[in-house]
Amino acid sequence: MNSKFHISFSAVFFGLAACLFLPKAAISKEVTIYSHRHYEADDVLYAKFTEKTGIKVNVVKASADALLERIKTEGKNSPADILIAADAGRLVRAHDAGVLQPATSSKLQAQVPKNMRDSGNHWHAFTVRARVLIYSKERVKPSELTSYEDLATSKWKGRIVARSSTNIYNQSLLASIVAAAGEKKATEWATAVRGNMARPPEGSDRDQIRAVAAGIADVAIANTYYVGLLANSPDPKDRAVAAKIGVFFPNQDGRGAHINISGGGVVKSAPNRENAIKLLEFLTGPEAQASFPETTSEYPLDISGTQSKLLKSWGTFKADKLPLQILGEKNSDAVKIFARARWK
Amino acid sequence: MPGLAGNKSKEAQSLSRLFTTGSRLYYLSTSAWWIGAALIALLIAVPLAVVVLTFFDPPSAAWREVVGYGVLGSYLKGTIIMLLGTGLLASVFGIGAAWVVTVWDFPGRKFFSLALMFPMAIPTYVAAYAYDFAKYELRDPMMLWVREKFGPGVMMDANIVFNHALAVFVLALVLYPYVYIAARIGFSEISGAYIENSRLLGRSLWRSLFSVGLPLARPAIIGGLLLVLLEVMNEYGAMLHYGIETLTIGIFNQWYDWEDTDSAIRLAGVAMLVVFVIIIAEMVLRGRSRFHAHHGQRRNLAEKPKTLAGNLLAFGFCLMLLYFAFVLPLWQLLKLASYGLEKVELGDLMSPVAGSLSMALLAGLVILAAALFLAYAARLFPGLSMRILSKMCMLGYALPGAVVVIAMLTATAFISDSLSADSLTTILFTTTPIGLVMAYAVRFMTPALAPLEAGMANIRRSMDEASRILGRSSWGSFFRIHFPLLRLPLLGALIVLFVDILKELPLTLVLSPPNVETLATQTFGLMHKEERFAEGSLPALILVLSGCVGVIILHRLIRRPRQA
Repeated sequence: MNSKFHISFSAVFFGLAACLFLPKAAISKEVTIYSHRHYEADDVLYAKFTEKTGIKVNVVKASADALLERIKTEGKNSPADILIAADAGRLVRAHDAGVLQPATSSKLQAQVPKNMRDSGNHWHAFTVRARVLIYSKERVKPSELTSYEDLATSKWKGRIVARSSTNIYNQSLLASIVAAAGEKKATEWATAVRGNMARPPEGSDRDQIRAVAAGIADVAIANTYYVGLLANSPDPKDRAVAAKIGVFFPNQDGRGAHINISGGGVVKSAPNRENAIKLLEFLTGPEAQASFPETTSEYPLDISGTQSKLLKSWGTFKADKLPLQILGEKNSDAVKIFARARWK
Repeated sequence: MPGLAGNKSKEAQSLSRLFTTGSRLYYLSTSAWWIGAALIALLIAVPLAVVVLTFFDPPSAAWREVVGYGVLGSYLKGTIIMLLGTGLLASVFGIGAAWVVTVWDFPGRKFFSLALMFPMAIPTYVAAYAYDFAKYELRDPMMLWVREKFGPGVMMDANIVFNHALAVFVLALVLYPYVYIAARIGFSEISGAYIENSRLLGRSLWRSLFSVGLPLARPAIIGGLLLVLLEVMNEYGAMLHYGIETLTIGIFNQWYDWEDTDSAIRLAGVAMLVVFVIIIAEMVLRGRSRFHAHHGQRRNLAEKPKTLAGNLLAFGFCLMLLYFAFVLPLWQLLKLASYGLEKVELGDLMSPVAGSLSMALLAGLVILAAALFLAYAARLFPGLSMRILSKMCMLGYALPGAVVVIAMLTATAFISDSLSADSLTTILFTTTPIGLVMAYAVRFMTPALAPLEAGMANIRRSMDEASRILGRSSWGSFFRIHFPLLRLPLLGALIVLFVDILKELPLTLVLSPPNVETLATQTFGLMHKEERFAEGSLPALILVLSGCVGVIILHRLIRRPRQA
């Protein structure tokens, strides 16, 4: 009994260990991604990439900050070829930390608009999201809405909801306001909007949209992605929420609506640099670009060229042309301003 | 449960005993246990040392801002509210349920005594999502009414109060089983005979609870409560969900938003101080009391309630608790999963299921082996040094996962730099999951070590002596005597580890090798990142049900008559 127990114990142990170690050694043609994006749709795209090129894709999915920390720790032995983040700010941060290298490729130059890539080509965007105003169709006329700046006026007292300032999309929005109007104006804006909120920040963008539908607030600051999510949800309650709200693109008479990107940069120590560039070319190429609106409700790099019915239903809009690199550069200002405004 | 062991012998005694056996060889082979245990403890202590050392560095400018903006104060406030609220409610649920199933023989008692453990299989972040409906269907209409009656200012405050209350309620619902299990053991094993006497003397069940049951089972219950409080300290997902600022939230903010790992670790130091206070409080509350377990038969104390009202009360309490803690969240997940089913290909779930099961088993076995080593070394050398070493290993349970991540990475970078061992990180984190398993060991040594120490304490010392007189080495005694006798606590610990690792999130996300997806990371990705609740509830369901299977096996083990 005793030795049997030992044998089965060791057999299970080493069997399990083998399961975890074996698949690594076999393939040499590969690329390793450290990704902040946690989409199943991305996995489908990676599979297509493998099918086309024969290059196997390895993925580690965790938050960009944690992955950046891991790349730094791993140093020149890092297996990471590409770092993918869901906002420009984190990519700038990675570049500042010195872990990215330029990816020079004529295809990337042609496929990615200039303001959606790093000036030194350290990172390139592959999808776009717009941060918009979601309003209650019952209580707000679209004509009452104009700009982000307008949300700081007293007519919105107790009528706004927004998520926590720890969220990068809010930080990027505030960074764009810092870039447009300076730190002082941006501080006044954040303080006034915080004062106009119907409740303290909590939950996700989706929770803010739900609050508008429920009547807790009249206007929410949220990404278009979440509207698509609710509209396409298999849960009928979500679809009922989507039916009650409208999408408004602010600042159309001025600099345009704030956009942010998902993008990737080739890691400095990348063991498979060429494969990494190929993958970025694929993600910014026509096939992947056509798929994003359908799978994740994100805009392609060519925002106005989308054929997606859902995205078109929100209307066409003018996007802020600010080089997205600036969002990263102003990120730490934004974080400090939020702290001062007590927008937790 | 921690600290069941009470070692009376002194280190000097054991050393002299070793020498009187005469064999130098024996001494050498035995000291291997001490050295091995010290090495394991050292490995586990490195991340803790990073935190402690950072705390003594001069603070950065950013840290002064954290304190200056009054942020630290609000983190502490949120943490203390959650600790007190959840601790209190989980105690009421856990002690109440344990008392009812111990002393009352009502219809369905057998079923409830098992089923009331199930909620521990639900990860807190899943419970928070499953209770989302409470925000939309209960809170929001309530808030609209409040705003109409009392104005927007009151609504703002009411919203904050409701969120705290909901967070306390949801956390208490999935964490009370720690208290429940501890209290069950306490009531039936320790105070059983006394409760019986109290009843024979004509005291009511209610009076017996406060006069005999609670005072005698107190050390066990406090031990369970300690685990609840440590889990609350660690909570990230649910706190974020309800917009409550706690120290753990602060650690993430500082790290992610301010890129300030220094202040993040410093906050972790503050969190460790809070934990230290909790542990000291536990020791004081526990007092000098020890378990005086009656090694005789387990008593069946339960008697039939005399009245229909008594029956209904007992049945109703258990039913309500089980409903809110398990049936309702599971029903919500099932409902969501039914929406998502057509979109999910079951084949896609195979890889996370395999990832979860293999990681949980592999890491569970490794941690168990290390814990067994520590527990046996502590038996061979029952002095202060070993006691300190084993207590040190248990501190990691108190550290938030995020801090273990930072500390692991910092420590690895430091070691590979100073030894110029470049491939160290590759081996630890890329080609193998060794680094992840080590991080799990830092986090989960407590649930492994505590039951083993208790199991060791139940093996009579005379057995060791007899084995030695028969000429067996310490290794021989270990494999022939202790290991076989510890089979039950070993299996029990393995299952608790299995359930804990199954649910674990922050360490798994950051430190796992490429392409390892687990049920927990997939649930998190779909629910938190993509906010596709319908699709995410399927892996969540599998996660909860696998945990339940573990709980059922655990229950069988506990019920099995104890070996002599």
